[in-house]
Amino acid sequence: MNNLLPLGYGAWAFISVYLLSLLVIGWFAKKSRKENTLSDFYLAGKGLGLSVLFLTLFATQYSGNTFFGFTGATYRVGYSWILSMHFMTSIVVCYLLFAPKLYRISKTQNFITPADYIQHRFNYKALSIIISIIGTVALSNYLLAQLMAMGRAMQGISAGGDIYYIGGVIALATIIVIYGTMGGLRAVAWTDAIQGVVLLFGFSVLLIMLFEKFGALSKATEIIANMDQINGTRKASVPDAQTCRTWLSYIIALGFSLSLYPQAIQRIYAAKSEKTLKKGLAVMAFMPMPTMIIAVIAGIFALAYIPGLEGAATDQVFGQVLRVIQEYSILGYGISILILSAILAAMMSTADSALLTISSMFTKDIYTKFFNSPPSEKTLTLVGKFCSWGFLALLIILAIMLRDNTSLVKLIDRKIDLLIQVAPAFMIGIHFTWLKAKPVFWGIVCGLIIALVIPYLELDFISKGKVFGFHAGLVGLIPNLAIALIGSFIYREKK
Amino acid sequence: MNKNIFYFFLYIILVAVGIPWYWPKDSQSLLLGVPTWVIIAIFCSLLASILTAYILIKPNTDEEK
Repeated sequence: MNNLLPLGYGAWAFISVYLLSLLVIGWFAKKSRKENTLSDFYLAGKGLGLSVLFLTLFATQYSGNTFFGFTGATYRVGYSWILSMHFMTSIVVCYLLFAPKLYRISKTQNFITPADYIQHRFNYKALSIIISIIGTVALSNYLLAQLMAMGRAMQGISAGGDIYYIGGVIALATIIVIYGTMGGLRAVAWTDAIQGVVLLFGFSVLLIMLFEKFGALSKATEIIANMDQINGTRKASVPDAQTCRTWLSYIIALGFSLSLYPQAIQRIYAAKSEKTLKKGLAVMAFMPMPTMIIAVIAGIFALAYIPGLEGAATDQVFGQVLRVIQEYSILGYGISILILSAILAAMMSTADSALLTISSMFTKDIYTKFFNSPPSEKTLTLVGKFCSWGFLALLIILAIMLRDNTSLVKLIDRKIDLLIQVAPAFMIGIHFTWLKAKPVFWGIVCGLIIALVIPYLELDFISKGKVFGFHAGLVGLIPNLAIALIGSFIYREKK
Repeated sequence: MNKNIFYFFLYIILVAVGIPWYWPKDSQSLLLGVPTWVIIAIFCSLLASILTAYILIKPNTDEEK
């Protein structure tokens, strides 16, 4: 965002009021608490209605990076990024495989974390622990990436140095942890709902303004096609075979991994009823289309009218588009401020969900295991709050120390490879009682080893951590599934 | 045929048509100002969304009472 015009006092006042309103919501959420229990704190008393459930699912699934990163990606690869719609849809399709049944079981068993279900279904501690570890590692990396993005965003809009990055990370993270520990999931879901509305409204107006400023899409397509002929690129052309394979891999890998995000699973538990959950997911099924189309159109206009960006600068292309809109009119300036708030909101809503889920997994899956008889729910809720503060403090330090190092954030690709390994335990285990714990556990171990080793092998058919264009996690899933299924079959035969 | 298998095949068809692996590599055809394969990809994604919403919303016998 370092391409924006300097913000005036009015713009800063708007952003400040918006951030303060999140704290007020946290306070109201605290007042709305019905009891001092883990279920009330981490799952909002399992009473999320349709609109809040949908908006919190939306704000959690679509982070600030969705718009920033995807506009930049369109700038780099051209029209083929439109295929990202398929993988965002595939996440909701994969929910069909387990979410309704998981909700029904959670209702009777009072689950808080994903590992609660695994323990209930398989009754095997090692499996519950490995699933908690995978979830925590994936979420910590994700949370760190969001904190660093928040710092860069604040640095960009202040047009200042490192001090603005550090101040931005500390200030925004502190706001998140305050409202998160005041109101738990209720506060997170309510703020997500506001953030979801701001996102949807801001980007809808942005789309209208983009067409007003740049004109018809056909003209942009023509410019890009001419650029293709000069540069020998394929940004307006049909993607080649390798790109098509990679898209197929993304559709399968993201669907099976991101639907199993621990915070997404907790939102399944938190729904008011099965009907509410299904309706929320049904609306979510239609969200890839508007969000991805806006990101792709912004990227296509930038490619045609703001050419010449390369490498890391392409990630900042959304900031350039916003600057064009800012300079276009007073309305454009206002909308760009709203969108800035929406992007901050999107980063914060993703971060707050991840933090709350990590805190719940620490409290429920790790801390309670140290006691023969678990502490009271009141004590556990307090431990969870301390965990949120402590864990966030640690990540703030990491985000500040690693501010010039992006390689850790790039590991974000690996989280897909990790998360997908737990798919058999949830998606097959929930339907078939013959699936046994030990084969599932060893399948996960084997899948993890393969998924983590492949990206570091130097072989002709491995490029950017993918085998013939397919994710390492998908390759690891094949032996994972084989061990789980064949192992369970042998176990059954023995009995 | 089992309904779930039927839905599964519908998704396979939508993905197979949505990814333009079969499209002529030198095609220049445009529709609504964008390459035609882009419109087909969007249309397949829309159909996948409608199918998913239908599966979720339709009355289900094993749903909670």
